Amino acid sequence: MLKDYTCDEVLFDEMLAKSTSAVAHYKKFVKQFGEYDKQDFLRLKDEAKTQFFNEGITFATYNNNAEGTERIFPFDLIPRIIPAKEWDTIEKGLIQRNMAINAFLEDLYHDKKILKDGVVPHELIHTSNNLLVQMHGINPPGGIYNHISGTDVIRHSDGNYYVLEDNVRVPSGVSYVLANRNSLKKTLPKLFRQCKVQLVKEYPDQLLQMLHTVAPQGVDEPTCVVLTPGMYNSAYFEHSFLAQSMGVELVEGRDLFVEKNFVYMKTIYGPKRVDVIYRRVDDLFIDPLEFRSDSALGTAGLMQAYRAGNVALVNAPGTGVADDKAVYIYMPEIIKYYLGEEAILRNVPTYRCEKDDDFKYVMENVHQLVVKPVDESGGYGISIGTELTKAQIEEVKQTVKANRRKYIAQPIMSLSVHPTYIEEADTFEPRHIDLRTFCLLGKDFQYVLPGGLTRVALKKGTLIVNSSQGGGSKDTWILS
Amino acid sequence: MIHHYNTVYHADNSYELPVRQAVYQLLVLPESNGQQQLLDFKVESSSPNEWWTATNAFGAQCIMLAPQFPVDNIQFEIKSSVNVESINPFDRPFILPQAQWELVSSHEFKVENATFLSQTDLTHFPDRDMSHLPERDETKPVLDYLVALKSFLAREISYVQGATDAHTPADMAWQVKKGVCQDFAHVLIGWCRMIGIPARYVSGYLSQGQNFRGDAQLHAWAECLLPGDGWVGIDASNDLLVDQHYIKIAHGRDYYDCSPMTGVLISGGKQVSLHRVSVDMHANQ
Amino acid sequence: MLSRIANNLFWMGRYLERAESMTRFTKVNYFSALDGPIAISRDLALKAILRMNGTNLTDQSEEDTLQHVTFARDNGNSVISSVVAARENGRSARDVISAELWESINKYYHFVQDYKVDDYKKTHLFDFSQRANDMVTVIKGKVDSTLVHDETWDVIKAGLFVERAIQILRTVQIKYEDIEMLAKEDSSIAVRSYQVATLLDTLESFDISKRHCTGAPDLTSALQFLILQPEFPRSFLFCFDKVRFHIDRLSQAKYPAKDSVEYFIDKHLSRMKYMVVDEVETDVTGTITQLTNLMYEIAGKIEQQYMS
Repeated sequence: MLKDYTCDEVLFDEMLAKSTSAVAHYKKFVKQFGEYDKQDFLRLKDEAKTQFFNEGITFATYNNNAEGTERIFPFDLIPRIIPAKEWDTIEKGLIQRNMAINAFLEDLYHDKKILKDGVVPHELIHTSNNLLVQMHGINPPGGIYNHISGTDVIRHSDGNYYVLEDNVRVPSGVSYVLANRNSLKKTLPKLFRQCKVQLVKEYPDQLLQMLHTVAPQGVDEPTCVVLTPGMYNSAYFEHSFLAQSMGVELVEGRDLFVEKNFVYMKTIYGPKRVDVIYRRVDDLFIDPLEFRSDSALGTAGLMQAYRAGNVALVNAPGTGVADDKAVYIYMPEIIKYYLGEEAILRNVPTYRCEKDDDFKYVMENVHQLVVKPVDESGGYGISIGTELTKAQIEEVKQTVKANRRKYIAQPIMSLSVHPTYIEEADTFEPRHIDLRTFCLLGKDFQYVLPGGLTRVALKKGTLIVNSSQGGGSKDTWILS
Repeated sequence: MIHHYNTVYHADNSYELPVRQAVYQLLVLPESNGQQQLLDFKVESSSPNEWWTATNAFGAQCIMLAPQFPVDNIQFEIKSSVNVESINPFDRPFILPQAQWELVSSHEFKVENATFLSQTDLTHFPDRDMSHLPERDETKPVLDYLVALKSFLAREISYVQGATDAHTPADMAWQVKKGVCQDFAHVLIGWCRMIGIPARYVSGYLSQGQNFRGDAQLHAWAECLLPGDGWVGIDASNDLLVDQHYIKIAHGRDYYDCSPMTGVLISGGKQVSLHRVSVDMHANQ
Repeated sequence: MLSRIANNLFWMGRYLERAESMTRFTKVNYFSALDGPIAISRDLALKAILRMNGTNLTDQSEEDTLQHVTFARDNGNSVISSVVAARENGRSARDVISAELWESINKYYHFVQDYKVDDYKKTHLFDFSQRANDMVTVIKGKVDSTLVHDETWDVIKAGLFVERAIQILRTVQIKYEDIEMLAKEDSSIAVRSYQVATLLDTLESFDISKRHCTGAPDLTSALQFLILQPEFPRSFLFCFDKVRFHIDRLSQAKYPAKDSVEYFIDKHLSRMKYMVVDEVETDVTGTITQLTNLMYEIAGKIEQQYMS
């Protein structure tokens, strides 16, 4: 079915890699896939879709409607395949990078050596809204801050992998990885068996194991919970999925209370002590006593219990200071500073508008740069130079000029493309993809989910892959 | 010489509808530090409760209190006894003034003290205008300049109750040239941070019967960091440096980090809370 | 189990039962009025439907009445409001209920949500009611056959039975008022037994009651059957006993404390078991009010002890 598939030569296609036939690690797949005909494929595609709908694997998008709309995350049946050796490097690189981020966070909340040594400009850190004074001097159980990191990796037209951004607050998306795999396994069982793909289903067990490693001292059998903002949150499905698959309670802030610096949940048989909280509530909402006093999503006294060492918060509050897009630029130096190693994964060259030289360059080159705000997520506020009109370019310039600290710019990275079924055209076309990875750090514990969420920009030519902006996803196969 | 004081903090909260669940944080215990020693304290409340102590973000000890049943009125009384040592705030170790001023602009000093060099909503002056401030003489110790700032502030702003409230930012108080101890502290802190001197907000008790301003309520003042030396307490509302008449409770970036009582409540309807705070402090000889 | 989740599941059970009860009441009373023996039957039936719905509205047209009690979203007691509430409560507890149970609730919700209101008002009342309540039956089947019979199950079942007990009492009360009122105008046996039959019908008990009480249905036997029959699932006593059963299972105490809900239920249930129909008949309204209040108190105590 894929035999007529072609791709523009300026783009890097994962399957063709600038040649005319599939590269080695796609060969088996292409051959097997060829045994289906178009009718089969369409039927299988519909089956997969129905399955998602019935199981309620949805996300909600925010709009003016308070109720939100539940939507299925579009899923493309053609998997993205990465050979074991390539993945090996990515995995090592992710662990290295996230260990360095952990060391960086510990330093920022204690001695601030890296700032004193001038490796990272201290103004950058001290003007960040995500630096939390409440975290100074706290020693989190197990010494871990970014237990769960969702690093976004892309492949450029030069065939190399680059880190696009770090996400160490509350990265989401892992439930789709597991759901996609499930669905693909049911839909294309033979294909799956033939290709020897590394498993992703142990993720919930690994996650629970990691949570156990960071239990407060002296707790052998920790009670872990997932803390959700509630069922109107866009990622509620994932919260509920993770709680269920780990076999732990899914709690809201109002289910918890603090007494004598210990955290308890209210159960039908009275209070039960909670030791580890995987929280999916943003920093500023977790404790109305120390952060936003109007928050109804948190629990009063949680930070005091944390400070007393009686509960673990996963991820630690205040990690956002490290995934700031302006801090990203210094990541190679940060890795070197703490680990004495060269970064395994490349950084995309980045211009900080705050710096005069960089600002000047950005102002002259908006038309060929991606300009992003440093503190937004979900693809909001991004402008891509090649897609802008003259007037829009002027507008971007003015916006940046008004708040230089808020913006960075990067060359337009040509995300690699991948054969993707396009419904309107009823054919397979190349579409841009990236990869959200998931890395777990615990006390003497490291794990990288083999694969991750390959996000695909379904709109022709666009580079924005976020689900809230019309992106879809693919299963990601790491061959063993 | 050691002075012994007893302090009493009393609060009375009434609600239109019973509060089903509540947690109160009371930041009213004198801290133990080089100058003062908390000897003992007692917690009393009008309704059955669990109470415990906890540490806030700046290391201060607070009393946490959770009533066991719905309440429509709750009163607390926290009594403590504390020893305070006589101090002469002008008695400082000798540091070459130029060296001290140089420290202010050093990289390490800025990094180390970033928390208390960063302005907050309550302390910042949007225009960053420092032209009206007394001239700075860097051949004299930093403390001399801070004393001058304090006296300038005490002259410019009159101590008036009711002109400002708990949420008034420094620049507003400066514009109306009126305020209470909290406003004096915020203005001084805002200036110091602009100059590059780390400064923090302090809440505490003030010895009664000495004709001080602000002795009937919890008092507030500023602490400023003298480079190469240490923190010194400055009370611009009384135009004084802090001595044995002051008992410190806690410090923070501004008033919000030090408010004596914070309640997180779950209630069915509207809440009308009345706070009555009385501070009783007297020396035992 | 979290107290909040227990509370949501308890209310999921209550709302399901409430929706089912309102649907059935509307259907039976609407159709029974079509061939009633007296002229005012139709008007009386519509008024009864509005009273059952707990609304103050009177003098509504037929279509407005049907719309109001079944599809009005601004009416918290309408069938659709109950269905939405049941689903939202279930959704918040998705991680503790079975996928099958959740799907059946979701399907029920979509069915009611998507039903064409005009069809319902004009021609399809029977079809809607029948299919909607069949779906509730499926949901209840999933509760019993796909959940582990642990505290999750007990909490949902307790909610179902508490609400059913209350709805039985409401139904009896409203139909009793009709019987009394009609007696003033026409005390013929035909009219009386017709109303008693509708009462039994409303609880889908007419046919079954015949096997237990011979002869034309009279009020005494109907009250006996609907309130004091210990083995009929649509009798108050039966539901009360089921509430006891599920709360006892939930309880971890061998000897419940005197201030516990278990103790309270046991105490009142044993009294109830020795109640005879004469006692009910001497003051029907008084007895029903008293039992309704008792059930409300029990529900309140369950929530207080386990769900807050």
